[in-house]
Amino acid sequence: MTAEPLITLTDITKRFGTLTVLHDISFDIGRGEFFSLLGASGCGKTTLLRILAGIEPPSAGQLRIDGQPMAGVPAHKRPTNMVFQSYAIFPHLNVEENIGYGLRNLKISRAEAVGRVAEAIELVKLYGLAKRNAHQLSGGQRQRVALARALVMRPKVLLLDEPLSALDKKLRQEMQLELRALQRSVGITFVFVTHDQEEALTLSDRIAVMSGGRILQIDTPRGLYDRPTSIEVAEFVGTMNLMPCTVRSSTADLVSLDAGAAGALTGVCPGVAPANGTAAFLALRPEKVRLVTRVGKDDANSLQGTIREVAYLGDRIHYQVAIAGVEKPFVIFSNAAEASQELAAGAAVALTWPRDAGLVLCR
Amino acid sequence: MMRHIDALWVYAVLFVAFLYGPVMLLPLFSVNDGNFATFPLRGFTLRHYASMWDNGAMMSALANSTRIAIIVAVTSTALAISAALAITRYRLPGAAPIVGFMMLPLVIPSIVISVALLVIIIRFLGIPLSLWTVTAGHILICLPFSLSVLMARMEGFDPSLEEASRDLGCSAWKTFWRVTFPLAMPGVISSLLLGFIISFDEFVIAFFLTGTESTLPVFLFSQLRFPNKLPGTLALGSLILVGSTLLVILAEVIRRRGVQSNNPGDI
Amino acid sequence: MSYKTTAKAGPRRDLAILRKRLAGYGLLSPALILMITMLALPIMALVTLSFWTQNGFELDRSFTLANYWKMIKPSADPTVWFGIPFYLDYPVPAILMIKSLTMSLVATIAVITLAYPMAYFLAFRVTRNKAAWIILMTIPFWTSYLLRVFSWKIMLGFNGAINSGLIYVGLIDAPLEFLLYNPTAVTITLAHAWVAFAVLPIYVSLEKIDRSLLEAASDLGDSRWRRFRRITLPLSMPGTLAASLLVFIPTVGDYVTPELVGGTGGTMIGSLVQKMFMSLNNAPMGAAISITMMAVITLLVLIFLTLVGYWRMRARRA
Repeated sequence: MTAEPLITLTDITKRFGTLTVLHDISFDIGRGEFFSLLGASGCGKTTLLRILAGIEPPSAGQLRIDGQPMAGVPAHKRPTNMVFQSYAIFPHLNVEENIGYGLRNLKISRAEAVGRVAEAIELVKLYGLAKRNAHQLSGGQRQRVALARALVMRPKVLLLDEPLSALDKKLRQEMQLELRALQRSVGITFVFVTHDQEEALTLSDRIAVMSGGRILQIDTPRGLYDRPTSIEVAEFVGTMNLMPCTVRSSTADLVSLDAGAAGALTGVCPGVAPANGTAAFLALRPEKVRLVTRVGKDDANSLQGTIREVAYLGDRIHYQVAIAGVEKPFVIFSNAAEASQELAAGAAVALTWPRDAGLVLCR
Repeated sequence: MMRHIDALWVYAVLFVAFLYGPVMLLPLFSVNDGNFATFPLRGFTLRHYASMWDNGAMMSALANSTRIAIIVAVTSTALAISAALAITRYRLPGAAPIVGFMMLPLVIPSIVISVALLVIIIRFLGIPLSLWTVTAGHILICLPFSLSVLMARMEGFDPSLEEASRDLGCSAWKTFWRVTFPLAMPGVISSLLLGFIISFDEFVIAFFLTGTESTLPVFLFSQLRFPNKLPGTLALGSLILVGSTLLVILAEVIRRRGVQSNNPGDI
Repeated sequence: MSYKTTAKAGPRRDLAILRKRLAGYGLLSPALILMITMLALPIMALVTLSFWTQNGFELDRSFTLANYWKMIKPSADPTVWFGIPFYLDYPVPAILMIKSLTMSLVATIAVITLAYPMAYFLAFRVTRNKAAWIILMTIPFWTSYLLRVFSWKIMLGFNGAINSGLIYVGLIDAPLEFLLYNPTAVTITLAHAWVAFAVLPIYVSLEKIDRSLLEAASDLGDSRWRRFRRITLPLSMPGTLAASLLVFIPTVGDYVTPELVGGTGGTMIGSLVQKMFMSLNNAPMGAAISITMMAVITLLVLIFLTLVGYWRMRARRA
């Protein structure tokens, strides 16, 4: 990154008793970035967010926000504000009082506070609900109040702890778009925690994929999807088919693999190519593979298989194809318009893909 | 199916009749124009109530009990708020056995508590018995009730509410007054009312620990021995019953209302 | 990227945790200090006093087990109580202890038997006005124990409601004397005074039972009664046990009830303790009796809990 980062984490470690939930986490988050922490529950993403907020102290490591070290700075003195997973709307206060809650702790005049609350209500489109009580609000409205309450503080960083997980699917998709637009308009750095990979891909500038208290990979959505550096990331973000192989040889841009009975295959390696003879996997995205009844001359890679299941999803078709010697059947997506009637369950088929479509990943 | 419901309903009604029947005799005979609690009833009168106001000893006992009950309710609630906060908000090693210890007065017969306090007050500390020693004993037995009401209340609400307050710039102290205390309010009121009732109605500890002055239950107990004082006792007892009942209903309604408005998450 | 490791972060965090804990204990301490000075220390004082002796108006502070020995000192000449011979020199505490335990046990069994159907009714039958029903069960518990006991005296007395009522309707000519001032009157009064207290814990444990468990039992072929015996009853056991202990423990030492409706025949161990401290002026003996009573109750409760497998129940729940 060229510009000075807004948040710098250095070797952040968190232990609860003997249990270590975060191991030496180090990375930077840039100014104005929409940054997501993605991982399954228990991976440490929420703990990391709470360390950023100052609710939990780290066991070791250093955190800087805007150049200032945050050690010993309590939550109420940090330039961060949080949208809680439960929204934490104060039940004894109405919408307006909830949004204005933190402003009493800033040295601003009453008139300015009133103005800011009105502005925030406008920003999150809660027009006319200012006097509503907390328990009269719908899930989506509660989420907006939580958002406004944090944004009204004009934090340097807005922390969001799975803010959309309590909403139903349709509302969630609407809020995703709104949240992204909102972040662009206010220009505040967002750190967003989620377990939903689709949500992270939709919203984020960059995503940190976490597992077992460690960062597996930090990249743009596109980068994570196209160039996962580990099998874990590959399987977590989207669907990935894995073909066990042995590395035979590699050049700068292509790795040749031996897939045993299935023959020779090729792929590319996102990092340093593994040594010859290493056991590896050729990872293939479902939409990169074509299903054909006969292998053509210019098809670089191919495998033989049998169709197990066909699921028609309107715009596309999902096939499950069993490959000899591979435990999990391959999943192939194909455009419904191009589908052939011959590709029915039980049919013997060939799978083909270009020479650089597969990624070589090690366990 | 229908008969099953009927049987249980009949039982429930009988149970309530059994529960309330004997106590109802007090108000019934208190308005009976006679000097004994006997059937047949002789006619309606309020003279037993009217004569209560002239009874100086009774009035001073009432004043004593009221004063003690207010001090007890406030003190035990204040102690319990602070303790409940510590137990529910701080991960303290040893909190579970400490809570267990604080709940002990619930399962120790009150006569043992009374004589133990009597022994330490008179024999070891040499303090003369007074209404203050009664007050102290009552605080002890009210604390477990206050503590359980307030702990339940404080465990009941989302801890992220307080985290949100801290996150929005409030110190721990400000967070307590702006979030924790208002949210714990139903529990606080309920604890105050229950503490008042427990102290006001308590007899054994007051009987052992009071000096020359008496509380209302101690006064009542001394009257129970004299058959000629019966009508006045019945009138006093009825008023105490009605008063306590109203306070209990109030405490319960407030507590329950609190529990309901407590789950902002689910609608 | 390169970073410096901050060696100071560890100790600083430990300090933060320590400070937070200190604050927590600070908040806890007023209540805890009160409980220690007003419960733990008095009980210790009571124990200490029980090892001393009273000689007339003089308190002998030399350590002795004489008070305890007095309660169990054997005698060749038995005192017979209800056909049971007590080979004791001073059998009063032992007899009253056994009598109190028996009366409390009977009262507790009566309380649980009466309260369980009511709790079941509250948990499974009441759909409307549930809060009102529960408040109806709560009120008697909070209102004056003294008055609730006294109401039985009015009811059962020689010139009481039952006698005068029966004479009035002509069923009897003279008052029945056996109603008041005996162990039965005390037991009935105890059961009545504590029954409301038992309904709530049982109700809570019944209410907590996942309704789908009951549906599953029916689905697997259980009749209503079998389902109750195999699912409802075992799952409500913790609350029922809690209720029975919460009734049994305090009633053993009850003082008010035997005093008001017990007469000479219905006295209990609490009355003896009171007499020792007041009219008999033998506080050390009273202390020894109180401590023995507590010890016996604790022992019986532990034996009971072991017999019903409470510890196993708890382990399974955890």
